[in-house]
Amino acid sequence: MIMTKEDCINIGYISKAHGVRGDLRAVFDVHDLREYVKRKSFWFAKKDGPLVEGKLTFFRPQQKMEVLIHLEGVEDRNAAENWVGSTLYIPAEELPKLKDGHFYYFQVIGFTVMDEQLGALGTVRDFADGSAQDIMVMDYQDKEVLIPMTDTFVGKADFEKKLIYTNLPEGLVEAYLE
Amino acid sequence: MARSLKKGPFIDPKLEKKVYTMNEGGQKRIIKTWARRSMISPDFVGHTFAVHNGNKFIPVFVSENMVGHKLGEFAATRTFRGHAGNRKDKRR
Repeated sequence: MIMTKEDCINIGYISKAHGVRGDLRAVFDVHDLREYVKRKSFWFAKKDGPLVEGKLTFFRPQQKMEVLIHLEGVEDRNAAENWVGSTLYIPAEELPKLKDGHFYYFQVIGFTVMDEQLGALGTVRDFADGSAQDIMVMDYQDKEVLIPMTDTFVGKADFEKKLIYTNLPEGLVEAYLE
Repeated sequence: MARSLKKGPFIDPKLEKKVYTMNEGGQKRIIKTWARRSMISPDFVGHTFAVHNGNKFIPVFVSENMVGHKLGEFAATRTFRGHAGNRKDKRR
């Protein structure tokens, strides 16, 4: 099977080789690691390289988001070193299903922000990891407006109309337009 | 070293006054601030602050578990923590 990066979601990377039996230490950047424990394979890509499927022999979660994995055919440390720095992907259609009203951030990029009070604002350009909350980056009137991703401010997304509903606090948009 | 108990927490007086006024009037207007050193008091919960990180204002919605921390802890100045939306398994 041939897979391209456009069809896939980046979920982590291989940080280093572990031990002498060809084990690899992977760092995942996912919402919940438990959803990936039963997977039999991942797709791997070296920098600018094509995607290659790697079948798993085991998947052992460690502390935080680190996982020890072992791939079929990687039986010693030298072979494992070749995989270090690779990025992990899974096909987008294999992402865990979400409950109603929930969405993945990448799905709403380019959507128009529709505020309860202010009406249609700008478009969603990106999301950034904040210390307190994740932050939605919106382009509005040639300025960058940052919106905290909390249930209080951000509501549902309408995939047909390409809208994301918000209830922004008074003064938030103005604070970035000054 | 921990701050002396005798001194009590440092809460920026101007910020505290603004929050107090808004709480009196039941408002939730965003507050722009440079007072990164100010501790988050229980009165701040539910308010949104635009905390300056030296470059731009980072919006911080204050929740209960942030009380006792400094505002600056939630508006990183250097660390670039990547794009969560860059086709990652991030969701709400």
